[in-house]
Amino acid sequence: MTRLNPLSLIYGGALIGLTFIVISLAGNIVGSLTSDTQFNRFTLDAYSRLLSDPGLPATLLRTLALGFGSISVTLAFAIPFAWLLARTDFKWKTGLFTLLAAKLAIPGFITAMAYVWLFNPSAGLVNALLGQTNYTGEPAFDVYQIKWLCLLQGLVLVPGAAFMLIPALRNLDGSLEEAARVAGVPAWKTFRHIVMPLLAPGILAVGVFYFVVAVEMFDFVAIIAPPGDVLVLTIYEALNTVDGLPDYGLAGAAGVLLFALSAGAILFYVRFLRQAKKYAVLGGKRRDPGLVRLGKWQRAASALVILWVTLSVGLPVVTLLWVAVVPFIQPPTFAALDSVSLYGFLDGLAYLREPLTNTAIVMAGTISMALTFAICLTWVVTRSRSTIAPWADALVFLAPAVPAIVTATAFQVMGIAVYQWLPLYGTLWLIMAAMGTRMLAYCTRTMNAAALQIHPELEEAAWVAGLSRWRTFTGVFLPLMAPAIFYAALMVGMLAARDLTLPLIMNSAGTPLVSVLIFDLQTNGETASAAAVALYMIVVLVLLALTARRLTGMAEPGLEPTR
Amino acid sequence: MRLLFVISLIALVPLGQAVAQSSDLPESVRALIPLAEEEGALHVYGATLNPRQVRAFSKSFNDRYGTDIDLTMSGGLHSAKASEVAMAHRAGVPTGIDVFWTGLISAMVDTGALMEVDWAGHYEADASLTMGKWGLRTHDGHQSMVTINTGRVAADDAPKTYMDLLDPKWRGRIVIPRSPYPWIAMTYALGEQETVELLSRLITEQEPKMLARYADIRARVLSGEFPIALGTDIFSLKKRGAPVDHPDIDLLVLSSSGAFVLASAEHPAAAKLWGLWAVSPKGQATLEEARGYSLAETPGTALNTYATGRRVAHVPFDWRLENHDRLAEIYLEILKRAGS
Repeated sequence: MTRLNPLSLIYGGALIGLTFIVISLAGNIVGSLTSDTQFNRFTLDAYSRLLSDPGLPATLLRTLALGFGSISVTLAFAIPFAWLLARTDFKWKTGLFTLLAAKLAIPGFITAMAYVWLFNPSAGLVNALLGQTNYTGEPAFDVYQIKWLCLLQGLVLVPGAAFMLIPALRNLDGSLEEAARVAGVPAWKTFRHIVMPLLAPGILAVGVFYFVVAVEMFDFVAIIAPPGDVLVLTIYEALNTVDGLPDYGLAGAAGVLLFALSAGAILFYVRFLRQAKKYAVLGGKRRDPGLVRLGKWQRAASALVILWVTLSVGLPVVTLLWVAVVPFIQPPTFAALDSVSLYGFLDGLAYLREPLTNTAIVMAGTISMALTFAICLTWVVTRSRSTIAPWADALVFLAPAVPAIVTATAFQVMGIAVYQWLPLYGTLWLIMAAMGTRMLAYCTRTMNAAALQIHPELEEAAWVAGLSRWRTFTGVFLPLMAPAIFYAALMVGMLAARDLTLPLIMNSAGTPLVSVLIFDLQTNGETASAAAVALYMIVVLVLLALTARRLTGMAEPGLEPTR
Repeated sequence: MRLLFVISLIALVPLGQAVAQSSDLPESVRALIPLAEEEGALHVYGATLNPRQVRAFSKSFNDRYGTDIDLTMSGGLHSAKASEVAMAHRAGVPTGIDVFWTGLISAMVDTGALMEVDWAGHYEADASLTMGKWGLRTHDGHQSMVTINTGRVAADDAPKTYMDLLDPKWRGRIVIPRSPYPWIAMTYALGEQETVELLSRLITEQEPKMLARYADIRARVLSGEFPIALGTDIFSLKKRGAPVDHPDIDLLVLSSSGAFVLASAEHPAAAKLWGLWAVSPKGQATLEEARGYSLAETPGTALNTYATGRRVAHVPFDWRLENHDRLAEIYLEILKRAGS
C-alpha cells in the first residue's frame, strides 16, 4: 500500500483554496460574457455597453483617485502604527491594539453617517457651529467630495494594514538596526534607510491589496455619494435592478475593469516576489530585534495615535452611543435629550443570543478555512520552486477585486450546481466557504510577507539535521509564522463577524447572524436597537481579540512596553 | 373542584378562539389547515423584519387558523434572490423558501418558478387582489411618495404637486433614490412625457442628492439635512414621533406587492394560508402595526387615511410587467446625468 506523502496535504490544501478563488473569479468573468437573461449564451454585449458609456473615462479616473487616495491615508497611519507596536517602547501599546481591534468591529456605515452629520454642507454640526452652511453661503466643509471619501475609507483600512505589517516588522533582524545604532545613525534615518527598504515587499503587498479593497468598498460610496460615478456604483446598480434578472453581464464587465485596474500593481508585485531572497532577514543567526526607545518622540507618537483614534474610533463610537439612546436618528440637540432612554440596549439584548451563536460558528469556520488554505498557499508560493507559484499568488490577489455580491452569487450558483453530490446550498458552510475565499487574499498577503523574511537556510538546516520536510514544515516553518497566523486570524475573525453582503445574499432561514440582525433593525427604522447591537458586538469582539492575544502569547515581545 | 373548572375553561379559551376564527373561513381554506399543520413550518422571504416583528406575524397567523406553524421570515436583495430561485428551480434544487413576498417577480415568471394559485376562484379571496395567475396583493407600495421634515418645512410651504418639486427654493434640498423605480410607477399616473420632463428638470435644475439605499434616504430627511425626500414612506416613523410627514400632494401613486407561492414550496398549504391571512383584517392589522404596510383600501390604516379624498393611481401589475424594462432604461439614463 502506497503511503501518502504528507506534503501532498499542503499541495491539496493550496489546490482547494485556489479552486475557491477560481469559482469566485470565474463567476465574475462568465457573468460578464452572458446576456441579461441567458447564462448559456455568451456575448460581448455587456462590454460593448460599458465601453460605449461616454462617462466611463471619468468614472475610471475617479475610481483610480479613490484607490490611490485611500491607500495613501491608510499607509500614512498603518506603517507608523505597526512600527510602534512591533519595534518600539511606545507607552500605549495595549490601548492602540485594542482600538485597532475595536475599529475593525465598527460597521462602516456608522463611520460614514457620523461624518455626514458633522460635515454635510447644509446642516452639518460643524458647519452650523461655524455659521457657514450652504443656506448662509459657502459651507466651511463639504463631506460630499471624493477627497473625504478617500480620507474615510483610508482611516477605516488602517487596522487591517497595520496588522498585516506587524508580523513582517517582528521578523526583522535586529542586528541591522543595532549596527546602525552603534554607528551613531539617528533612529529616524535607521527607520527610513534600513527598516523601510526591508519592509518593501510587505508595504507593497499592503498597498496593492488595499488598493483593490478600496475600489471595491461600497458602504462609504453609498452614504457619502460624491458627485459622479465610481465603478462600484455601476456594479451595484447593475445587480439591483428594479425587476427581472440582475444585469450580471454589466456587473461582471465592470468587475473585469476593476481587475484590469488592479492587474498592473499586481504584476509589479509578482516581479518583486522573484527577488524574494533579497528581503529574507530572518536567518539562523537572527538577533532578537529589541525595542527602539522613543524617548522624546513618545509624545509625537501619542499625538498621531490620538488623531487617528479621534477621527476613526471616537466619532463613530460616540455616534453609535447617541443613536442607541434616541428613538430615531437625529442630531444631538438639547431638545433631543428629552427622548434619551436605554430602550435600545434592552431591546437589542433580547435579540442577541441566537445570532451571536451563529456568528461565532461562522467566525470559527471562516478562520479555520481561510487559514488552512492560506498557510498551504503561502508555503507553495514562497517555498516551492514551481514557476507557476507566483501566478497562483497573483490569482489569489485578484480575489478581493470581485465584488462581494458577485462572489456570493458565484457560490450560490456553484452550490446549486453541485447540490446533488454536496448539499451545501442554503447552509452556513457555503457562507463560510465564500467568506473564507474573500479573506484568503488578506491571509496570504500577511503570511507571504512574513514567510519571505524567513531565510530558507533555517529549513535547510533542519533537513540536514535529518528532519523530514513535513516535520520541517510543522516544527520550523509554522512556529516562525505564528505572529502572521495570529494577525491573519484576528482580521479574518473580525471581518467575518461584521460582513453583511455574503450572509444577506446567501442567507439560509433559521441562521440569523449579528450583522444581518443589525441590517434588519436598521432597515426597519429601529436605529436605537441596531446601534446597541453594534456596540455589544464591538465589546464582544474586542474582548475576544484581547483574550486571543493573551492566550497565544502575541503580546510578547513587541507588544508590551518595556520598563 | 371550582379551581379545576376555571383552569379547564382557561385551557379551552385558545381552542375556542381558533374554532371561532376558522369557522368563518371558506371550506377550501379550512381544508388547508390540517395539511398546513402537518407541514409544520413555513418560510416567507421578502421583508427584513426584526425578531419581535416575526413573533408578531407568527402569533397573528397561527391565531387566525388555530395552528402551531413555525414561521420563518427573511429578507434581502429581491432581484438577486429571485434570480437565484429561478436558477434553483431549473436545476430542481430546493430553496427552502415557500412564499416570495415581493412586487418583483418577472425573473421567476419566466422560468416557471411560481405556483399558479386560483386565489379568487378556489379560495374566495377578493378578485381585485389577485396578481396575474400567481400572486395575492397584500400591501401597496408607495415608493413615489414625497416626505418632508416638519422641522424644516412648514405644512403650507410644502409641495402640493410633483411639479412643485421644481420650485427653485428646493434647489439642493431634495434627496432621491438612485433608482428608476419611483419614476416607473409615476409614469402610469402622469404619462411618460410628463414624467421624463419632471425627472430631467429635477436632475438638471434642482441638483438633488441621490443615494443608493432607501434606509439612507429616510435617515437624511429625518436628521433634517434634506428637508424633502422622494421615494420612501415614513408612516411607522411618524407614529414614533419623528419630525417627518407626507405633504398634501394631489396624487398618490401606488404599486402592489404580494404573496407568491413557489412551485417548489415544501409547505404549499401553509404558504397559501399565509397569503390569505395577510389580506385578512387581522393580517392587515399586523402588517400595519409591525411594518407600516397595508392595502390602500384597508379601512383605518395610515395609508388608507392618507389616500382618502386624494386621486389614487394604482399601477396595474400587468402594466408594470410589460413596461418596466423599457422605462427603467430611460430613467436610468436620465439619473446618470447627475454629476456628470
